[in-house]
Amino acid sequence: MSEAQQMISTLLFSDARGELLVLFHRNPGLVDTIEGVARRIGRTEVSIENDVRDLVYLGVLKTKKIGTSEVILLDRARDREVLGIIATHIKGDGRSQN
Amino acid sequence: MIRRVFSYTELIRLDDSRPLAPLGGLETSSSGLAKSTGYERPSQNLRKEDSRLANERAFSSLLAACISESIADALGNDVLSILVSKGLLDNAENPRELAGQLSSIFGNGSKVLERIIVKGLYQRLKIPFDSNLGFDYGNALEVARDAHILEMRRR
Repeated sequence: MSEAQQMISTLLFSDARGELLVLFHRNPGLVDTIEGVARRIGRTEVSIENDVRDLVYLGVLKTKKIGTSEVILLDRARDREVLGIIATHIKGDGRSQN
Repeated sequence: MIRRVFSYTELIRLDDSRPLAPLGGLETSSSGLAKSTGYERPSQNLRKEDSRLANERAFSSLLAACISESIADALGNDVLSILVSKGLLDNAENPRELAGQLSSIFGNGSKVLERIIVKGLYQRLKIPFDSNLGFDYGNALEVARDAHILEMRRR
């Protein structure tokens, strides 16, 4: 599996992950706690923990400490980079192997 | 003498109150034809058909907008542009066609995109979306289509 295919697989692994992407792409300046983010997409904190962790690992989202709270936000530069890699992949052959 | 021959549908569209031309499409001054019950029924049927087609077109247009918006929201405008330029969204109103195209590019991720599209569509049509229920893209579009037609009839 190519890097781009792995990225697609990570980004669109679950419905919650898709909803997180839509939320942050529609609101690129959004900064909120994991609980707040979960509420915004109609889910619970526990149910999105793994999805947030994997998106942070990919670099599309990042975490930051504000006072005693940890908040999540979009890493715009890395997000652009990841989406660019996917776009280039689709522009080429772009066929999925799974 | 040049005489334009109108189709039956065209004539009805030109002026609904005008007496209908015979099926051959020739002009006539006979108003008696319009009163004939034999011609009124097809006219009503054609109006219904026109209205059905207009509703279908409106729904297709709404669906196409939701598909584009959802893909752009999830994966960005560049990905959307490439999909469009490759003609992968050309038959987007056909659920099987779209599912096939998305699946060929995004693999299992296509299911997530389908849900995002339906969620966006339901939001626009003010249909509650229950993410806990089983999901079938084709069925979900049928529900949306029915809701859209009802909404159009209410207007």
